[in-house]
Amino acid sequence: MAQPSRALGAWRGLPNQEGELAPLLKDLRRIQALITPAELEHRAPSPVPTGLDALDRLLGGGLPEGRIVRLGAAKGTFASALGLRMLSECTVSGKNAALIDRADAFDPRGAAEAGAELERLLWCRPATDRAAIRAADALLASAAFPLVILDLGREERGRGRREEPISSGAWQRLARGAEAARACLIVVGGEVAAGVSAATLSAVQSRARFRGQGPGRIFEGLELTVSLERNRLGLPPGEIRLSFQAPSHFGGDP
Amino acid sequence: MRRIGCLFVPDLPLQALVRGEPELMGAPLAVASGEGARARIDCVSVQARTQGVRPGLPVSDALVLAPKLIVRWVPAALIEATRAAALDAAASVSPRVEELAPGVALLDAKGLQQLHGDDRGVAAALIAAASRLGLDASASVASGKALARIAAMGSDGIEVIPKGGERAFLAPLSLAQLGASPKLLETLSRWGIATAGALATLPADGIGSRLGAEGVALHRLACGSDPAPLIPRSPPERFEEVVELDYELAAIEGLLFVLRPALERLVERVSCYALSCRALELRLLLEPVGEAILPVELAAPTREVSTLLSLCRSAIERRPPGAAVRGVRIIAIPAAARHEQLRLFGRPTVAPEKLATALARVAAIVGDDRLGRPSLPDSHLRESFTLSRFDPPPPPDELSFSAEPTRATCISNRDVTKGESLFSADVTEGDRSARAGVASLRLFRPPLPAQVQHGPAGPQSLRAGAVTGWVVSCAGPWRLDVGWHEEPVCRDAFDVELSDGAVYRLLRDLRTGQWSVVGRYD
Repeated sequence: MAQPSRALGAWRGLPNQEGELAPLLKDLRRIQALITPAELEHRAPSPVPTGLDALDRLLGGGLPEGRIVRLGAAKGTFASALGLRMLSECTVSGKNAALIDRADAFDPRGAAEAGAELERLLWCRPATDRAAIRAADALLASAAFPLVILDLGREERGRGRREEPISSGAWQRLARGAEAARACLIVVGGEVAAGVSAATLSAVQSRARFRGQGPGRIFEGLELTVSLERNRLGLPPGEIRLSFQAPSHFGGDP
Repeated sequence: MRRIGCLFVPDLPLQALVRGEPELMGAPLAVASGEGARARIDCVSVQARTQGVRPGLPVSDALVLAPKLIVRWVPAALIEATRAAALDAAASVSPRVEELAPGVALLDAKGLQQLHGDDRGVAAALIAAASRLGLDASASVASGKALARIAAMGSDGIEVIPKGGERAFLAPLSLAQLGASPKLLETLSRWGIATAGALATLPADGIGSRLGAEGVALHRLACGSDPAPLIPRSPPERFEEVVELDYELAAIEGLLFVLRPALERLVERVSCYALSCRALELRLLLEPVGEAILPVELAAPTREVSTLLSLCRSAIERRPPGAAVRGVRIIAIPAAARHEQLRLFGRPTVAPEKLATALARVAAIVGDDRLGRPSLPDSHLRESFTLSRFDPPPPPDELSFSAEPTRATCISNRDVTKGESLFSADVTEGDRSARAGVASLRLFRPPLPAQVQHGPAGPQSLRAGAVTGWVVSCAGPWRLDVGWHEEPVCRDAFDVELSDGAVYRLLRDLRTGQWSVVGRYD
C-alpha cells in the first residue's frame, strides 16, 4: 500500500501535501468514492449458487451477491419459476429470503412443493409499486435477507389506476442498499432503470409439455430457454434450457 | 455494607412542563394551580425567582412582578409521567428501585462499581440517566435511605457520604432537615438542641422514655445509623406519556408532529429497562368530549421512533378520529428484546432486534396484515394459506464432516477465466431431470370469472378479461370435492395452453357451473 504515498509525492508544488490532502482523502473514503484495489476486489460480487447447474454456469457460479438481477417477465416467460427456484435454494441453505409480491400472485403451496422452507421466507404483499420499493429498501437496509425478490409483474387483469413509473433514483438507492447488505435483489417484471441491474435473464423460448391424449392427458411441465444478455458482470452472453415440472393439483402436503 | 443511591427531581410540575416543551427551558416559568382569582403559583423557575416570583403568590401578583412570566397549568397526567420517568431513570442504573416520594427515587447501589466506578460514578450515572429523559436532578450515594435522601435534597449536583462519615455529614444539619415533626422540634428546641450533631451527643438510654419512637429513630439517624430496608418495586407493565394541547388539531400531519417528541420520551423510558415496545395504544382526546382509542400492533418489538410513528400514522389513517384532537395519551406495552448467543459453527444470525425493527418498518409501509411467514393449513385447496409471524429458526451449522466437496464448492473451484465449457448452451438430459424445478403458478386473487366454450374434449376457447384465446392443449379434468361438512367445494380443474403459448389453470364450479381462471404457469 505504498502507492498512495508515491502519488502524493508527485504533488511537488504543494507544501505539506499529505497533511493537506489527508482530510480530502478521508472524506473521499468516507463517501466510498475512493477505494483501494484490495477493497475493490473485496467488493467484487461473489456468486451464490441457484441450485440449477446450467444457470449457475451461465452466471459464472451463481447469483451475484450485492447486485440486482432482472428476470424478464413477459407473458409466458416463466420468470417466476426461476425466482421460485432461487428462493428455494436460498431457504434450504439456511438463509432468510424475502419476497415482495406486488402482484399478489405467490403460491405458498407451490413454493413448499418446490422445496422452499417457508419458515425462512418473509412474504410481503404491498398494494402499490411505491410501497413495494419502500419495503425492499427497508428489507435491504436490515441486511437480514441475503435474497430479496421484488415481483413487480403485471397480471392479465390490469391494475386499475395507472401508477407512476419507479424513478431511477429509487432504483439507484436499491442498488446501493443491495451492495451494502451484500444481498442479491431479483426483480421479476417491471422496468429497471438503465445501468442499475447487473444482469438480465430473459426467456427467449418456452414450451408447455403435455403427455397422453383425451381426458387422461397430463400437463407435465414447462421447457424454457433462458438467455443472459449484455451484463455488467463481465460474463459472455449465452443460453440454457431449463425444465420445470408442473405443480400438483391438490395443494400438496401442508 | 450496603450503599443506597438517591435521585431527586425537584419541582416536579415545572420539570414536567419543560420536559413536554423543551423550548421553554431558560424562560421565566411558573406553574400554577387553582382557577380564577384563587389561582396560585406552585413552582417557579430560577429565572422567575430572580424576578421576585415565589411559590404561593397569586398569579395576578406574580404577573405584576414579572410581566414576561409564562404561567402554565400542568395536567396531572403529565406530572405523573414525569414522576414515572424519574423512577425509570433510576431503574436504568440499578434494577432495585424504590419510590420514596414523587420525584425521589432510591436504588440499591451495592455492586455497581464494575459498571459505573465508585459511588461518585454511580451518582453521575444517575444524573446522566435523568438528563437523557429531560430531567434536571441531583443524586447522592450513602449507606441508608434517609441519609441518601437528605444528601440528594440538599445538593445541587452530586453528593456522596463516605462510609463512616455519616455522623460528620449530618452534624451541621438542622433537625428539620432530618425530617423531625414540628412537635418534636419544639421539644428539642426547648432543650437547646437545634442540630443533628447536638442530638447525637445525647445518651441513647433515655431518648425512648422522653421522646418516644420518633425520637429514637431521629437520634439513631443523627448518629449515622439508618437501617431501614429498601423495598424495591416491580418493573412497570406499561408506560404512558401525555400530550396536552392548547389548541385543536384536525390534520394528521400536525398530530404526528406533536406525537414524535412524546414517542421519543416514551422510547427513552422503555429503553431504561432494556425493553422494547411490543404494542402501542393511542388515546385521542376529542373536541368537545370523547376519546378515540386506536390500538397499534407491532409485528415485532422495536425501539425505533420513526417506525412507531409510521405505525401510528397508518393506525390513524385507517380509523380517523372524526373530530379535532385536543390531547393524546400514548401507552406502550413493553417486551423484552430478544438476544441470541453467538454460535460456534453456524453462520452469524441477524440481531433479533434489528430484524424486528425492519419487520416493524415494513409492516408500517404495507400494513400489519400483509406481512409475515406463509403457513399452510391442512387443506387440499391450493389457494388456502395464512400469514404467521416471521420468526426464522437459526441457520444450520456449517461444520461439515464429509470429505466430499459440495456442489457449490465444485462450481467455485472451476476456473471461469479459461472458459471451461461453463457457458455451453445445453445441459444433458440427466442433468436436467436431476435439477428440474417446479413451475410456479401465479395465482389470480381473486380468480378471474371466465367464459368458456366447452366441447366433448374439454374447453375450446377462453375469455376472462385480458386472457383470451383458443385452447391448443388441455389436460384434465381433475376433480376436487372437499369440505362437505363446512364449506363444500366441488370443482373440476383443467390446465389449458392457449394459442399465445401461455398455460392457465381453469376451474369449473360444479355447484354453480361458473368458470374461473385461478392462475397462470410462469
